[in-house]
Amino acid sequence: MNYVIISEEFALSKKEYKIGISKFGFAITADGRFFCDVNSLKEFPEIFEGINYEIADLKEDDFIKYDDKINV
Amino acid sequence: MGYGQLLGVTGALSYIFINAQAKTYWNALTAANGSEVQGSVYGTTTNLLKKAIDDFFITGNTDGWLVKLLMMYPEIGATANTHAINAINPGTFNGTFVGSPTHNATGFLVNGTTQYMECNNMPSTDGYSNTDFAAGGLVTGVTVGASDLQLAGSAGSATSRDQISRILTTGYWRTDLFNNTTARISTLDATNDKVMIATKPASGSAILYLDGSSIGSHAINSGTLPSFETYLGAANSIGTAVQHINGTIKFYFRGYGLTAVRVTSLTNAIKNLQIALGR
Repeated sequence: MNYVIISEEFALSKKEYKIGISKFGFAITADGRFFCDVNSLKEFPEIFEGINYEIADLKEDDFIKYDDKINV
Repeated sequence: MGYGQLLGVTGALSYIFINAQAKTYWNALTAANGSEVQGSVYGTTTNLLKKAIDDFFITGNTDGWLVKLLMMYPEIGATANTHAINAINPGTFNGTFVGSPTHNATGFLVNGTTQYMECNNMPSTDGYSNTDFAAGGLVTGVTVGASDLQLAGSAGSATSRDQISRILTTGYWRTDLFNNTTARISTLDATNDKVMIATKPASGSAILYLDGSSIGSHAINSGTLPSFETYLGAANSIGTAVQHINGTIKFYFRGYGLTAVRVTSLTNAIKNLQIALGR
């Protein structure tokens, strides 16, 4: 599935970006890349203006795996 | 048959709600996006759509579970604005969608990686009790992957968990209440499109129901409800969304005081609502 690969700095700076009831969201791949859904490009076009990003086809193996307990 | 029901069947005039709470929810839906909240979206008439919502609330009143629910997201409508509405008390605990989920008339589709809904409530303080609470939901299209998947919940420590519903990589449904070392309560294969309800009654063990039938129970260890807001579509682990589920979420609620009889009634009401919505 295609996702938008973004920089760590961009992701963290937009962590609380919100319009109405919609909030920007991202996650981190197992190898440390930050990414968001392609829908975010349409929902929050203003924050992507002038920002370098790339579209990548991420697979199940790219995502962080959790065991059956949340580590808290 | 009530006057409103008669009008609903004829379709000649606008359906008149019998249940005031149902009417409030309907008004919130239409205020959020009137163009999508109509019968044609669901292959029916708007009057019958109203009646289906009214019937749901009427059943809840009659069978005593409606007053026990603190928040409920029936996911009626086709946009974030309508899906965010807490039908129990519109405007309070309305959701916030994170990561741009896809919305349609079936519910909201989350991708299993970045998307979920913040419920904007805090289990530890927002009307919940450590000794009596319940939650449940309905999701479809889930693909069990290499990680655990959380329908909803939050966790603050090893003994402060409220991950009410969960799918393991093996396909088991489970609940994590307070301490997850004793929480796996069913080996029943997780099947999509089943109403799953977990209860922690005021006394006795926690029980997990699937489509109204108890499929397991476990004793509750001492603990507290988390001071981290509930996420829907993932779990909130000390402020971070983890173990995102994939699939379309059609319904979610939280409350308390759900006896087995009330669970059966609520389950049937949720299923009947889905039938009326053609989904």
